Amino acid sequence: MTIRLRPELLARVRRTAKARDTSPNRVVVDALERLLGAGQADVFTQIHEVAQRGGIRLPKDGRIPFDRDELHEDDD
Amino acid sequence: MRLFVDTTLIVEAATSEDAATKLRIWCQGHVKVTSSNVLGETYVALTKKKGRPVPLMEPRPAADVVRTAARGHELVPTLPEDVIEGLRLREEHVMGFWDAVNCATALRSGCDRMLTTDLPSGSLRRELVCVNPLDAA
Repeated sequence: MTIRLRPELLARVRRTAKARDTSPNRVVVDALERLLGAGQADVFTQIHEVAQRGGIRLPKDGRIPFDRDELHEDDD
Repeated sequence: MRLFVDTTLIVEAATSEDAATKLRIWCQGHVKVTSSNVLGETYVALTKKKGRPVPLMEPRPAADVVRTAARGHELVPTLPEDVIEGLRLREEHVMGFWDAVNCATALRSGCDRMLTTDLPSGSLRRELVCVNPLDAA
């Protein structure tokens, strides 16, 4: 299927794709799926699946210490 | 409703299938909003060692998680006025500076609920209620 976008919308799609480090096609598909609520798993399910595929390591006690102020300190 | 999704919940969804399921059910049919600051905090939370021998994730897959979160939410920027409003919120409530900035962004972007595990449940202002969806029945 071919979708023709107005030039200003196409420019916006390209800017978004560059900012997200992905393809313009991916941006359009994501936007349509978000709009129509179809074809994609829920975002939280996707986040979980992407994290598991990416090898997230759980702390032994299963708890994630979270100190928001610490997140804004310099890297260790 | 417009729901502002905080950093803690994105990290919880990444680590726990149970949390991801609870969030899916809780947010169904509502608009999920998050901010540029939350995305940044998520990346750091996943990649910072914080006293552990290794971080939760390596940088590249952690970036994939952040991109996934970005695609699935309405994204709003964290603006200078959020910092100013955040300072006012800190004077009204007991909360950390960055919690207050995220709440200010949620208020400015018209959110009804602040979904977080990091703040006590209840009204922050008349128009914004903090909720922990992982505790909610």
